Amino acid sequence: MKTIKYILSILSVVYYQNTFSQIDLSVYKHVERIHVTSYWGNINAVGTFSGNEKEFTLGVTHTNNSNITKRVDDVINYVSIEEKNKILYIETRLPSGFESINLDLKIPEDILLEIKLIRGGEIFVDNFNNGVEINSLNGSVKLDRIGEYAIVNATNGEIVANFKHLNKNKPVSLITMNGGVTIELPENCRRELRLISRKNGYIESDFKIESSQKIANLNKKKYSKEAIISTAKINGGGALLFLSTENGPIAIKKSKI
Amino acid sequence: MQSIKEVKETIKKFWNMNEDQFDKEMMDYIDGVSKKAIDNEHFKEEAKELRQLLSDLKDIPLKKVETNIDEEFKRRIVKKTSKKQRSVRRIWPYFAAAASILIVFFIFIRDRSFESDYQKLKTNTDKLGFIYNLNQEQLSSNDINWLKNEIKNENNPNIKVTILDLLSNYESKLDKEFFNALEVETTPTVLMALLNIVENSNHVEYEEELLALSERKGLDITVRQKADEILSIQ
Repeated sequence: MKTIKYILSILSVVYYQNTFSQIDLSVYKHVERIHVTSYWGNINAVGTFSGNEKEFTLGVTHTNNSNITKRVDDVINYVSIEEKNKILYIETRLPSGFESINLDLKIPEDILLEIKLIRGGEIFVDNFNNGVEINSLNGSVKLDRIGEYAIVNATNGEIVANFKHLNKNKPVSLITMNGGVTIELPENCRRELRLISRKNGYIESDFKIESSQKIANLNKKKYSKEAIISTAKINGGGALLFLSTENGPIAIKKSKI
Repeated sequence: MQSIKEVKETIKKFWNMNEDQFDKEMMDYIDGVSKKAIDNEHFKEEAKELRQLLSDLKDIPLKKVETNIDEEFKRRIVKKTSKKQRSVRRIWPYFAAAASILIVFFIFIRDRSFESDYQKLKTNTDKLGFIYNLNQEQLSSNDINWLKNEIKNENNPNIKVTILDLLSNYESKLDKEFFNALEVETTPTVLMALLNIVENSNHVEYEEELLALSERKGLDITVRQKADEILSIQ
């Protein structure tokens, strides 16, 4: 009997944490853009289908200075939410000590997403149709199934991005300091490339790279001590694709989508 | 024998004549109206020859001027004037159009600059594309000054890095003021892009800025290492 009670209490906690520890943001479904600002913690944002029933929620997990993690009910004590001029601003509170706040966002996929991570954490963004703009300090940035464009700045961490479609007139810019840059593009994508790998880099490409200059370590997995700085084109050129890292390789792959 | 000039002076003195009166007397003498100058033989001889010359001239038959010459002359003048007017009338619209284009062009050039075009852009994607395309232009000192200021004013770090990538082509035109950006910039990737330009610049003294950067609290370790590396080379 005791065991059953124990199991039931665990299940109720799990149910409660997964069901009630998130807030409904559907009242903001008319916004065009969401701007998320966080200090420490991971951000997981998933674009939801733009049907009549768009899921639009925010879940918050807090890790305190004793490293104890829990999903929180009183979201409003950890995160401020404000709408201004069709932009929804979500900002975590200033951290006390080493506390961190993880955000789980489910957002209608057509809303433009902007994220600013001031101190550090991992960012994972999946399935957005109208582009993403991310500025992160410590941690990797992973973008999956992105549409239109992406502008990402990371510091210590790799950037991995794949696109379901690109706007042929909009540039893509992925810049990090320590870490590689990997991008997956649709096969017919036309781009003007600016490639910068200052050290320990090489350039790997599934696309034919058209350049008047010789590109060092092109498709040779050999870390170069010299800077690789080059301008090139793929599929005849088009809008800008700026890929830059101070320390690491660059890979341009054909999308499997 | 007296020269004709001496004879002339003698007669003028004798009759108390000035130059005009002498010329008139002379002509009258030749015409046979006056006999005042007759006393001098040499003068008589001269007068005789002149009289003969005049008589010969009078006997030359006169060439009759054609009666239509005036008409022809008039016609040519009219034709030339109208041709001139016609050509002016023909050129004028082109001239006016060219002048208008020039005026518009100068107004356009005066009001339009890369900076003013850039300030009209609303999105980061448009700004990025615009800045990168400036690689195909020859930038003036004003353009470079504007871009230097954009490093301080712009919020998006990727736009800043793209500007710095562009400005690295104009390293010799970057002054000490440009390197002041090291003091205020906080994004590590932008700081690294600045330091990469500093590393290649030999004409500006920037040790003070580098030391301040290197001592900044909370600075990313990679940036600090890069600043120290440049300082150690100096």
